[in-house]
Amino acid sequence: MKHRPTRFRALIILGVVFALVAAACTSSEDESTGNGTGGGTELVTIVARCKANPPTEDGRCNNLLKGVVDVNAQLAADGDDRRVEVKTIQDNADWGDYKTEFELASQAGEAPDIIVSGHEDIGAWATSGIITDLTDMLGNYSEFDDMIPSLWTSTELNGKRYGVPQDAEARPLYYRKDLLAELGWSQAEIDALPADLASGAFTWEDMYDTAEEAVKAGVVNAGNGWWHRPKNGPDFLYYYYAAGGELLDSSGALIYDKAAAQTVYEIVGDAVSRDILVSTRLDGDWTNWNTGVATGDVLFWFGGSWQWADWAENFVKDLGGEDYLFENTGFGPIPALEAGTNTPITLTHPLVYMVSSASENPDLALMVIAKATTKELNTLHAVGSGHLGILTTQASYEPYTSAVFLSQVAPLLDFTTFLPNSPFFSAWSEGYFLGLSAVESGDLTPAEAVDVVVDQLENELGDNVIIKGG
Amino acid sequence: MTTTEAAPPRHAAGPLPRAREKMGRRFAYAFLILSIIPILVGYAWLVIATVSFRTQGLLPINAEGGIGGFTLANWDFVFEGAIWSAMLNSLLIAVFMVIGVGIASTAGGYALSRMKFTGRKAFLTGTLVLHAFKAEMLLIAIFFVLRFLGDIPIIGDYIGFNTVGGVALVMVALELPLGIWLMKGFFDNLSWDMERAALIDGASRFRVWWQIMVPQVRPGIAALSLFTFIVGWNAYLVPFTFTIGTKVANMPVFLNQLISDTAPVNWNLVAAVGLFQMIPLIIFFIFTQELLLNIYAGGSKGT
Amino acid sequence: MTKPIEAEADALARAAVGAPGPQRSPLGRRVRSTAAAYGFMGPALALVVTFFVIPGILLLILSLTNLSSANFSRAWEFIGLDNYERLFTDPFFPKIARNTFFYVFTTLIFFNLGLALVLALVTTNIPRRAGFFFRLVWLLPRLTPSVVYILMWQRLAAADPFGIYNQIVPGFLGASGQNLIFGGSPWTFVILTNGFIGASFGMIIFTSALESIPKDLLTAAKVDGASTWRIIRDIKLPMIKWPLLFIATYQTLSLLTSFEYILLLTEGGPGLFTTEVWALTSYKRAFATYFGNSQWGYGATWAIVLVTVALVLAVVYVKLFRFNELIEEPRIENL
Repeated sequence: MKHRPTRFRALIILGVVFALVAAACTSSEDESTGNGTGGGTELVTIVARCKANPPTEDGRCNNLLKGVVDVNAQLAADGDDRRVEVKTIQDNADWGDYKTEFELASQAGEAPDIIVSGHEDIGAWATSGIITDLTDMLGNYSEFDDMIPSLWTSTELNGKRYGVPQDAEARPLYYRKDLLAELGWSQAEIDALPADLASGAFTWEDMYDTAEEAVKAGVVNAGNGWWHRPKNGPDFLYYYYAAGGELLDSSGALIYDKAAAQTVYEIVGDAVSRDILVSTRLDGDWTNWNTGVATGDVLFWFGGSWQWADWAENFVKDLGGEDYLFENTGFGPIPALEAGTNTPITLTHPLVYMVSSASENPDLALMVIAKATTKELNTLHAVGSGHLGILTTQASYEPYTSAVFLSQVAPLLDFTTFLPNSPFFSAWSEGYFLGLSAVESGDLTPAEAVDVVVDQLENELGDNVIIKGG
Repeated sequence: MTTTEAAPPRHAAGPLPRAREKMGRRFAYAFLILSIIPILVGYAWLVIATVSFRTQGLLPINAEGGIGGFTLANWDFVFEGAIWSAMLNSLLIAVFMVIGVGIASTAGGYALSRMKFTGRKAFLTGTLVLHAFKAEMLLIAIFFVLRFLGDIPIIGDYIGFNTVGGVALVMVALELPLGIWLMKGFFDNLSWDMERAALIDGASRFRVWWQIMVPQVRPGIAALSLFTFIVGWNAYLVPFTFTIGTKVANMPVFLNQLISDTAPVNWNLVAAVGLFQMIPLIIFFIFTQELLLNIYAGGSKGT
Repeated sequence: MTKPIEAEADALARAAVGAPGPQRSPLGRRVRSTAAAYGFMGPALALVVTFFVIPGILLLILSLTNLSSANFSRAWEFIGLDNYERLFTDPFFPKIARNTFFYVFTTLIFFNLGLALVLALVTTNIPRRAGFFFRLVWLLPRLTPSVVYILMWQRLAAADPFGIYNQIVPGFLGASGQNLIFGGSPWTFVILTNGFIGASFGMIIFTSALESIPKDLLTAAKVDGASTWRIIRDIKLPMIKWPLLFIATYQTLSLLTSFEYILLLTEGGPGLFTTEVWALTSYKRAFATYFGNSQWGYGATWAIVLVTVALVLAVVYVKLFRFNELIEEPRIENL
């Protein structure tokens, strides 16, 4: 018995030694760059916090590091005594946790100078006062003049701008060319589809009819005519926009338009009853969803531009990767709901750089952002990560145009809409989606769903929601 | 369903105890094997997925839609340094938690089981109910506590918000309701004989605890260590939210990098990392069960 | 209670403890012993007070405010009982409450307590190595990262051609090709996924408790010709009564506040809060920040109400199980 406690103790000691080694190995590995300071200059450290998927999205943070040389050159040219170094803290955690961390850090007075996040956070963060109003400072940096004008909308709250767009994406309608051909479409008809979508000639109803035909003809299985994403997300908002729904009231409250919502719920219910869409589509399972759409089980689906690279890399690599996709998959804007009256639509959800109001040098932080917002650096990020460019000059910049998919999908931004910058959108979205999923699963009729959602929203948001049409 | 029902309770000793025991054992195995089928099938898929490009059911599917398409690419991550430093960090947290929770619970459980003091009852009921507060719910309140701790002179720099020390304390604290109650239960089951004799001989309470009592509750320590190790190994929310950036990039952070909502997700890779993340836990389980439980069971043959 | 074996064990225990008479100790000794007790309690007490009691009180205060991401940097704004009113007038509150109780007690009875006990008894009743193996297999779900664990279940239940069940079970035995969770029985899978995790907790603790029953007691009973069933009923179960009651109570409270696996599996769906439980609602509406704006104040309200329910349940358990004996003071003090 004697040796046993010794062995036990030895194991504990071993554990502690391991722990110490581990601690030694993981001393902070934050990257930083900066120029050595000359005599008489003051070195300012700008801390930037990014969430990015390595290695493809590393540009989100690294562009800030790369831009620092230009910042210091400009400061020297301006006769400014300050010099800048940038420290970045990057990882790829859950959005929710990432945002919470920034809120806590701000409250504790330890916020980073720059944070990258979804533009919709401006609603809560600007209201709370933890990010800086940049409206009057943006004019000082000529780099920002190149921004695609519509993207600025996403950074605004009450007429003020609180961020700088970092990247964008489009949410197109995808379709399988080979399945359309199997259904009897001529090559010319298939090639004309994107233009028909953009002009509004091919409507949502046409899409349903085609899908129903494909199901009946056995080209696709029942329920595989048209798919939306398998869980809640920004996508479902453009259905509401397409149905003529308005979201943001001038008072800052959110609008729930009963008629528009009912139209959306009817569309979805219609798809299920016509066997175009399985009633269990909202099963939250991205794997099967991606496999299904990428390998040709589904005729039409609403997806995202960032998924293209994912399919090529992770789902159809052995079938030929991106070449296979180009051969079989087409894309265009989300069709107009009704011919003549509506326009096609898409939605983009830009990430934006924001400056913490705790930053001691917001001007320098913004200058760092400005020097990262060039067509060279942004294109590097866009092409590497499958995102759309955000600058007008990128449209004619060769490295960008040579990325075939990106440059083909970029014109979709002409039809784009955004999420609202409102602190109440989260609750609104939950309520709106509840109705949609209840109709899709067959629990409620569209009219019942609207009533349930109205109750829910009034309870959740009180005066901050306006129920329209009832 | 179980051996217990297979043997009729009426006759204390049946005519053929051997045969009956054999029957009972067969029932036991049949029940156990049936019960683990869903688990085995699930893990069979998991293992297959990690070496496949895509799967349908339990079958790996190649580009032509036939069976095949094996790949080892999902396992490439084991050649990256990141996974190994993540693993070390997970180990650091888990070992720290096992030691911290172990000491605090074994000491506290002993006092609660064997000593009389004011506040004892309140503490016991209190911790039991408080455990119903999940970390997610307490998050914001603990944040305010950490901010307050951070303002304490000198030590505040080590235990406040955005410090590794603060995170460590929170994580140990969140496991204490389980630890204290578990250890108290094990101490309750021990006889007073040896302890009494030692105390009469003039040994200190601490010595009695450490030299006589603690060795006797090893099965309890084994069970507690196992659960604490699992929690520490998979810790994510607290270390992530209470530090800025990822001061401690452990295994869960590594896995989370792969399933971010906006990033492409390769689930076969996620399965591989997940499987990899489990291996040390299985080793730890074997270690605690074999070493601690079997030492305790000692000379007598277990049946 | 009158079984000879137990009576014997009880007598043994009583002899060990000594006559439980009132002992008067001088004041100095009592102070010293209290000091010793707090010495042992020190670390645990400090941590529990700092990170449970104080945050619990803070949470109660927070539930009276409208603190959220949108006003986080400012002073707390008290809004009285508005949050509570909002919670209790939530149109889905009754449904979610019903779901929660159904989920908690079904999972508890069938898995976290029932199956756990059966597994512990069976695996300690077969050769050690075999028992060890089965326990390891049963522990695997708990060792698996939650995302991967749920991924496995989704694959088991997925629709054709991805689902394992639909692949290996032939059509005439009931495989429809549908997704079994969303097109079949979501509750079955919510309870299975949680139960397969939950059972191992009780299993390990019961096993540890069973292993620490003195072997002589069991051997003596066997020599006396007691059947397996009698040994279980008259020796094993009474000896592990404490862990049983503890697991019942502890797991009830744990299940009441658990939501992680449901969030990953069904997100409370499909449709209209079909598998939504209380803790999940609280998390989703107040803490999930995909679109920003955590409502800390309102979230605290959900937590407080939930913990109040937990408190009531704990009191019921204490009365029901005469749990009080367990937290009674030790029968003798130090000498």
